[in-house]
Amino acid sequence: MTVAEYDKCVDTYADSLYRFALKSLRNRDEANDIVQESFMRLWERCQEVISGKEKSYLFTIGHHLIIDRVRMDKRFVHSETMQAGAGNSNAQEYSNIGELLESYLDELPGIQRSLVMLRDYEGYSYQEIAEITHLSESQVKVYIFRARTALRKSIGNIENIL
Amino acid sequence: MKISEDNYQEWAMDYLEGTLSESRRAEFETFLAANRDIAAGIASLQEYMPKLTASAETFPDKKSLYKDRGVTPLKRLMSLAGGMAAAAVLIGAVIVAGDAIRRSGQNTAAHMPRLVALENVEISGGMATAEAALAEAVTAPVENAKNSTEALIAYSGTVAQDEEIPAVHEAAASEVAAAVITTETAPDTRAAETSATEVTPAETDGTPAPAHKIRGRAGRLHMIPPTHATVGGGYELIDTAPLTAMAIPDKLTDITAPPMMASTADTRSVLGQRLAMVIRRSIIAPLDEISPVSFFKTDEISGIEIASRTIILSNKN
Repeated sequence: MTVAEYDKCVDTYADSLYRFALKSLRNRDEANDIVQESFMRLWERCQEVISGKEKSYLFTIGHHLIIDRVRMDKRFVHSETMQAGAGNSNAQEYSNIGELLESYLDELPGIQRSLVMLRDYEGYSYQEIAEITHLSESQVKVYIFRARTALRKSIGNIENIL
Repeated sequence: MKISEDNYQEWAMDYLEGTLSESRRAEFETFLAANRDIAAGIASLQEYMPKLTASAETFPDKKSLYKDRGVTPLKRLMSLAGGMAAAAVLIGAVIVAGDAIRRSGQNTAAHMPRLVALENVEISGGMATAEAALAEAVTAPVENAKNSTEALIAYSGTVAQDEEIPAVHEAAASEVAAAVITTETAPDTRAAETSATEVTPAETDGTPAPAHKIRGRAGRLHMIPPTHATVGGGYELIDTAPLTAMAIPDKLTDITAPPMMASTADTRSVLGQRLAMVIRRSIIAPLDEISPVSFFKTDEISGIEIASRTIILSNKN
């Protein structure tokens, strides 16, 4: 990877990686750190990263840095169970369903949240998500199904918010 | 594999997204017909599939990431270095690799990754045990190393001692961490600086002086000469800026060992952690603006991570 190609990666992926980290950590400074660290490692390994795999490499690094950060802060939610209706989510507080979903997203277990974000925000295939997160493709599909089911239950009657 | 209550989730997303094969789809629908509760959940998702929409948030500091344009970390480092030289540093612990730097003209400088180590910590006032333990904890790996580069690597959690540092590290090191703070070993300079940096908490925050006075040796802020071509022009060597002040931690007594510390191992552990805190406040914090620096502590170890390099200051193992 040349310097120009690296800078192109900054242009293309820094924003999306930042959004991913920000949604995961809910902290701008920490999200900033994740992006800085991820790109630094990309630069350090620029001769090893396969052309076309830069985004996947960045998000793989970012994903694992986020997990490390969350674990260090003891914020990682191990429980697979989600308490429907718990937390600060209230349909009446949000102006659109997107904001409502964002609020419910916080109540998902960390791994489910990450997978759904990679799928919806970045449009990764299940196979690509599996590579990034070091899970099997089946595990990814199961986690995402559980996440969508949980979000759907949290929303409740769709007619109330549409 | 037969679809069951235990494994149907593996195919649920593919079913909902219409990517199942015809045969598998038929099997899945047969399964749903026999499992009404599950079918209701699937139907609910068919009615409305909750999907997130990306925000328009953008990363605010892209310039810091670019290698070929914008503000490079080196430039920020240089800017900060000037401020630090006027305002700053040290409480008896300094970032190492002095002799490597002093060997100007050699290529060692470019081989310095972002590593820091500690040396020349002195604790006066009858703290012989603590002093020895602390010195061992923070300097032995450096002193035992064959050379400064190896000493630096000894503190790295990511680079083995016998590993060649790739050329790419040279570039990164040159740009991101081309500055170190080091002791000045010239006798006349050291004497002057040592004298200038003896401090007590009473001098800084008005509280009564503790039983044990902390004595630190000031260092000088150095920039490693631009030995790598990618650094480019405009480099300014800052090797003459004297340390004119010290950043005094809130509680200097934090780095003294409490009297109840019986064993050397305990003393080392506690001192290491407390010293890390002091270093974090006095030396590392100003570097936060250059590259991510974080202090970490687990049940077993504590230390500092700077630009992905880990410095373990205390290790119970």
